[in-house]
Amino acid sequence: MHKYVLDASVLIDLKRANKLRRLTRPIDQGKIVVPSYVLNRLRKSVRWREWIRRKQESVKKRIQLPAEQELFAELLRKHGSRSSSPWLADDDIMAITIAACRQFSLAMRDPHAEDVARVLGVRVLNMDQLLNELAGLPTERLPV
Amino acid sequence: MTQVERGPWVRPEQLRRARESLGLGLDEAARRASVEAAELEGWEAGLGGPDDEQLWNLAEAYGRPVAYFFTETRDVPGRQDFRVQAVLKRELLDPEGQKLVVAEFEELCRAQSALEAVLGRRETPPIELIRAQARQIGVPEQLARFVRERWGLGSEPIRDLRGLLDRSGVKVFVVAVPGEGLSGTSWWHPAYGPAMLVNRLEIEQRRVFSMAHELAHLLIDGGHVLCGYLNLEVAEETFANQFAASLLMPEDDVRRFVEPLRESEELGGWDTPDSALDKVARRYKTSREAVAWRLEHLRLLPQGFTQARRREWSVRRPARGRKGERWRRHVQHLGAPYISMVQEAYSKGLISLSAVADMLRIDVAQADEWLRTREEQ
Repeated sequence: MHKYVLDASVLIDLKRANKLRRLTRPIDQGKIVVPSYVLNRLRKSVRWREWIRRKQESVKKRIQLPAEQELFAELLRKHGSRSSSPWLADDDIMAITIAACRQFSLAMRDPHAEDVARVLGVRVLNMDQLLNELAGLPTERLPV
Repeated sequence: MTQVERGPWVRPEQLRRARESLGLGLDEAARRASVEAAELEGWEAGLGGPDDEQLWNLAEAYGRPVAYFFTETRDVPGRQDFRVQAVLKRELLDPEGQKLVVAEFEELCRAQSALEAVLGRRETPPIELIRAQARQIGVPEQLARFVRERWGLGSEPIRDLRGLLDRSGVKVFVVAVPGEGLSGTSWWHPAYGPAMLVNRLEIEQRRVFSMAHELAHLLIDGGHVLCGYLNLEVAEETFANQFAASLLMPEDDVRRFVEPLRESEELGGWDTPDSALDKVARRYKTSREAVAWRLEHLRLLPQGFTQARRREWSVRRPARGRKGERWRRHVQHLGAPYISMVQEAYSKGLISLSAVADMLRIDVAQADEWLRTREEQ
């Protein structure tokens, strides 16, 4: 089964577009993962606490594999410092790491982070492409 | 799935540096981060390392991003001097909260320097030239005159001190400081340059005075002191207060302005009403207390007037604003140069959305909303 890693930016887009409910089934089917740092970050907003409380058990993904740990540390050193370009936050880096190491697709809206992910061979989608794929509709050709 | 045997993937010295910058012992740091003290001690010695969740907890407890533990940073310049605590009532203070704010201050300085570098804005701050000569001036009144002259201010009241500091290359961050008694701090950092932090929870007039006060520290001793409003008996603090008062309320202008008030006997004696002091305070955008202090110094009020009256003047707090909008005000206080650089870096693809949230010290949903509003504007 193909899985999708969701970044904070796409979750925010889904909520704004009132489309968060469309994730219910894929989440139940185990198709959606959200990095633990993304959940930690969103939890700081009161608007997200309830959704996270209900869904985190099904979607939460941590850095667990040695390869993930290695890549996560490497990316933090390369893109996590404030003088690096692009400068990515720890949750962006965790999302890229999980997608790269487990061959999951990555749904995000952040051109800078997307570029870093593509260099690592990650397939990146935006919100509309993600929803189409989850609904079984044809998706336009995606850049890899 | 195989459980990972964690090696020292973080930099042990960064773990220690983050903890020590808050003045925390191992036990207290471990308690805050919900880890075992013995484990933390081992990680700091390079034995094993925290897992991703423990890393997040440590970052939250220390007020640093997770990446702080993976990259080398420079030490803060000198030890932060918390001597203000010795002269303030204990119950007013929240020393641990204040140390976290100093960590936040360092992160903001680091972020602004990095933004300046990536946007090609790094240049010698113009204040450097003033500082080079200022160090030879040992009298606060003269130093204030010199600075006003270099800024081309004449003897008029200063309308926008923060703008002047921004243009002089001083990084100014107005941030909420928990507890009471801490008005500001500053440092001349070898990597980040001159910077000051001012307490957002004090009224605007007092914040302006704090900026002028911190400027004196930057010009004379390079900062490093956490300054409280009440620690008047420390020599450097007295100097900085006298400088601030002279800078904001130049003698010639004050004498001219209060002359009619003195002639009408509204101002000058022990019975000077608060309303007369407030008229002067409005002109110089400073507090009633600072005005009284200045007038006393210029012998336009009886000696001991301020001390006798200050107990009657309750400490006012700035209006808090609507709850949902407080974060916008918080961002605004970080200063126009900083926030426009954050926006520019984002629009040029140099930083991510979550990085914007980190830099503005808000949550990621608020960062998204902020960017949208800015784009619309």
